[in-house]
Amino acid sequence: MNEQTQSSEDQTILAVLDALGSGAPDSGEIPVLRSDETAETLARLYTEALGLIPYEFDPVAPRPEVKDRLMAAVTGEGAAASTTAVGATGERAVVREAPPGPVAVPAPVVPLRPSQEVRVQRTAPSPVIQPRRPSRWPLAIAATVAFLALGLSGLLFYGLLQQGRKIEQLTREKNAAEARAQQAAAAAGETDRAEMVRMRENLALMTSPAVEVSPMRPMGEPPLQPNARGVLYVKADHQHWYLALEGLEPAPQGKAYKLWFDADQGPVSGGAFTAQPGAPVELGSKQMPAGTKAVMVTLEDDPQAATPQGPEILRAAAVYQIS
Amino acid sequence: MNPISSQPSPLGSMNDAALLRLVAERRPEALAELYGRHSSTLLALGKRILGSVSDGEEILQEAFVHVWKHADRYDPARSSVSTWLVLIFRSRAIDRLRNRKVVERTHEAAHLCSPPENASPEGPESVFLHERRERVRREMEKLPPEQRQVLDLAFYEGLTQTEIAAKADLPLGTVKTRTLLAMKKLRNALRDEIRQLL
Repeated sequence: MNEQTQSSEDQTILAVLDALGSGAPDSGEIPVLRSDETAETLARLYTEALGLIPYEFDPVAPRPEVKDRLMAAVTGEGAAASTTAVGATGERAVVREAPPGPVAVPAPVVPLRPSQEVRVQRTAPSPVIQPRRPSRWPLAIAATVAFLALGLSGLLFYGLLQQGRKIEQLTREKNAAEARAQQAAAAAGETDRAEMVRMRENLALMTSPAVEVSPMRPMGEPPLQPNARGVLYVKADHQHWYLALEGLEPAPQGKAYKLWFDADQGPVSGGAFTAQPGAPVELGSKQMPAGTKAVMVTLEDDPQAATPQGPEILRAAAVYQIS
Repeated sequence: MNPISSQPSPLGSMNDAALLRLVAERRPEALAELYGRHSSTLLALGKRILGSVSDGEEILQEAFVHVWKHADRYDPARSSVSTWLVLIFRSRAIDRLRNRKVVERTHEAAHLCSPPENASPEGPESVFLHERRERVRREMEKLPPEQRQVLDLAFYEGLTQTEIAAKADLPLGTVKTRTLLAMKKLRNALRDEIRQLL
């Protein structure tokens, strides 16, 4: 491309841009550059390049109402009810004639924008002069109205009284319910706290470096409850212990499991307990009888029995305790 | 829903120029078809120029009313229909922008709020248009920032070369050089797309 052509091209580009930037209200038409065919072709190419620029953005779909308004405006139906549509800048788009073709479909109703609002001038009704004549009706009506108002006031007052009583009653009930809820929450909180402390202590015991661990094994030939098992944790002070049992079957009706310590003084009861299907049993205490050599779980007919009477279910034999 | 667009129509297979001829013959359904094809792109442009979708929608309506009135002015020898629509819309949007006299603020707002979530919900865009967008976006991003700046000021804010020079505090000659470089790069890079429009 020679220098002269280059210069011509530059001029064309600038002319295209200048024409676009002129900003005439009704512009938007393509600049006419008919100095020669080359310039005209170049102008076309650069105009098309400019026309492509908006494609750099993702499309933004207008709301359906915009199309409805547009179509209502151009078909001359709907909101206009006349042949004009008013744009935001005040332009009036006059639809010159009824459109031909298959457009006899009624346009949707279009909400008017403020600039389109139809202002209806209200005309005052013509005064009608009537001759005055004395009448007793107004007095009767006034009396009736007063009577009705009085009755209504009484009714309203009674209603208010009833409403006030009901509100008081509901308030009392609400306060009582709140108090109960607070007590329940406090009790539950206390229980939760105690449970938390217990769990913490048990955890400390189980993770203590000096803890003695003894497995509890099923007893009997064959074992009465082969799936039952447990672990006994005894702290170094040989006082604090924690027993975790699993697989114990629920005790038959009228019977209970009982924990026993085989101590120097003989069997010492550790208390009775029950078992739920599939649920572990956790027992623990900060005291253990002196000289405990073994720990047993028996199934007793009498939960209050002072010595083991029923069959032995589990036993931890390797327990050493120094008093 | 617009009753016109809801009916199956052979208009969908017509090109833009043929549609515009029908518009000139006062066929609203042809206008509706043109609107369906170009409104999303034009509204994206309006959002960029005005920083507001609702303002862009007003301009969209005005522009298509203008098309309805002056479809017979379209000269296929001078531009494609899509470019004609873009320039009509742009001119009106810039006119609105000037009336506002808050060019700087809206320019910044337009940059701040150009979320892709407003992408057309009217259905999947044609592969052709999608590729066009990708190509244009890619080529616009390739422009050096200083060239992109003058092009943006000219196209999106409607500033003349002199006004750009004043605003960017640059010599007029520099502005012209950058503009010319940007335009030539764009024309060369979008040669295929331009050929499709001719």
